[in-house]
Amino acid sequence: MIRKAANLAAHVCSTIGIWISAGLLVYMVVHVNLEIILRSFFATSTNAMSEYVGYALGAMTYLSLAHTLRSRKHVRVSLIQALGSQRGTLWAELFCLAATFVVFSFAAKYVWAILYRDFVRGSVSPSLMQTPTWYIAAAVLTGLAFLLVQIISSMFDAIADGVPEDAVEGD
Amino acid sequence: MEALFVAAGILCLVILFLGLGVWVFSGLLLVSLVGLIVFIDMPVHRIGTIMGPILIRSATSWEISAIPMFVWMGEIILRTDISSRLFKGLSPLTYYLPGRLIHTNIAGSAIFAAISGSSAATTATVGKITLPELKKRNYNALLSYGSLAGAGSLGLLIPPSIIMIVYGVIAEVSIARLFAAGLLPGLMIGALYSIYIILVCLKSPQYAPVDSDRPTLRDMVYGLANLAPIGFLIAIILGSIYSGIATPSETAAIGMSVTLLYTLISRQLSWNIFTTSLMSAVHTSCMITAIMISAAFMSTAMGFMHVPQNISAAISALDLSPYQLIAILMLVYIILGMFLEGVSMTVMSLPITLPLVLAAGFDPIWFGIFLILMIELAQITPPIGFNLFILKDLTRSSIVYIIRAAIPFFLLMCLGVFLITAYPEIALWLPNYLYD
Repeated sequence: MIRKAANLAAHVCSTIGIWISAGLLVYMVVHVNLEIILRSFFATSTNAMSEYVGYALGAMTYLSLAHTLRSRKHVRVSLIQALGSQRGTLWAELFCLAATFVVFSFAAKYVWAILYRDFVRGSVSPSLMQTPTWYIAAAVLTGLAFLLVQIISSMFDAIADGVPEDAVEGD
Repeated sequence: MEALFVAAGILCLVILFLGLGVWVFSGLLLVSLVGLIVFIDMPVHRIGTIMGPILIRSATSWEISAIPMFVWMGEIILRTDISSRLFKGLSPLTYYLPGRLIHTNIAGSAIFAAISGSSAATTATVGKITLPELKKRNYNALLSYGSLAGAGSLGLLIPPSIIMIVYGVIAEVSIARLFAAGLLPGLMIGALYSIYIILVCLKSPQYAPVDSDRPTLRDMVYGLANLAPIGFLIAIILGSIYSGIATPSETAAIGMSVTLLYTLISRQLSWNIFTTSLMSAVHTSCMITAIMISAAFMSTAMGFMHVPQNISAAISALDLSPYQLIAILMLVYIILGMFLEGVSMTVMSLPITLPLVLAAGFDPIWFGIFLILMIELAQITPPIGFNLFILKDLTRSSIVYIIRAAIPFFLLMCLGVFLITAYPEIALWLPNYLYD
């Protein structure tokens, strides 16, 4: 029951995260092209390319962390997994997930502090657009929350079904 | 001595956590966190206050936005006919060279690398097309596999290259200059591979059997026509950087749009191709950027622990000559490359190695190329050489057989490293010519 709930929550969170991230990547391509067209043919600019594309990249990265973990596409050195027994592999996996959970819970606490401070003070970016800085902190925090939910779900899955293989990725 | 104790402690933590299988993006944060608490007794709330802004700021850097766009472009290209056209185009052109179609591995990888920033994508895409053809024609398997293992890694050196963007951002050097600097060393290594294949096949002609279908002049012209789409893409990408229309980061968006347009016009674009390439690009970009974010915090943490300064001081005390330093770094990177992939290697080592190398009088652009060559070596170094695993998957051969095939090309790449160390102009001439 708890596992089902965790899996459902992780599925919803990571799916929302990856689709928003995909939308942000499309937005980045469109904005940069628009900037080049405006600059080259109309002698003008969006005045916000580097700022907004940077925000989009940050939000895309954090919001897709959970789905990338779920798809097992984050890089790791799989020596224990390659050499160890099934039981050893499970314990190593649980340790990795628990350690990641602790680190990112810690990070989330301090990102929340930044979000709260920026929201209360009404902080804005030091640019022409004066974008409220809590927007990006909120996206980062949401991505971290999605990741934490995914880690809990992955722990249940590892205990119940064993450790799945990692996807081979390269440079 | 205490300083070196801290550095050794950090190294042990890295080995412990990454060895246990903690993902690199979280492992680097964990090492930094534990290191700051254990070695300099920093209060936890202070660490959090330092970490929070770094995690946000390093993720929103405009310069690294080129990475997801180049990755997406590569993902679309993987799913189109561009790679099969590449083989069709190169086959008649290589017929009269000793080694014949094996050169399509080299030339194909070098050309494909010019539109893809990834070594893994280059090896997988070129291999999927060339290896079955070479097998069908009874070409020597060791030479076929080895040449692809070596040439596939050219994707890192020939612009545009994702790892160059990572290096450029961390080392704060011009990415356009880095792109220019990678071109000649990339072509040089491709040429070394081709010369080796020619020599081996002159000695043992049975390694590359004569094909019954001798290509005519018409076949060659038709072949060149097949290379047109990829040639057009390369011209757009490199042309927009070096004509000044766009910065390297902006070029990624142009390249992406032109690729999408080509896919649409050639009627290869489907909703499935669009979404699968997009999702795959988001995953890969997330993996790379997350490591860069963690490394940014690790770099700051190491600064607090004075690790780079103390290692620099310790190495300076050894009074090494610049070339001795490079020899040691080469060894260190080969060992690192046995366990880490390129982005992790770059972001973890640079805070320590870059100041050392700059103090020894080396050019940061040159060092970027040296580092990328080291990462290329890592791609074909067991046990974690990604190209080896890709080839194992493609050929269903044993990993030992693939390693055996890759050894001559590993040695040739080492020769390439010696050449660019002895003659730095190989890397520096083109950027100096274009920008000075």
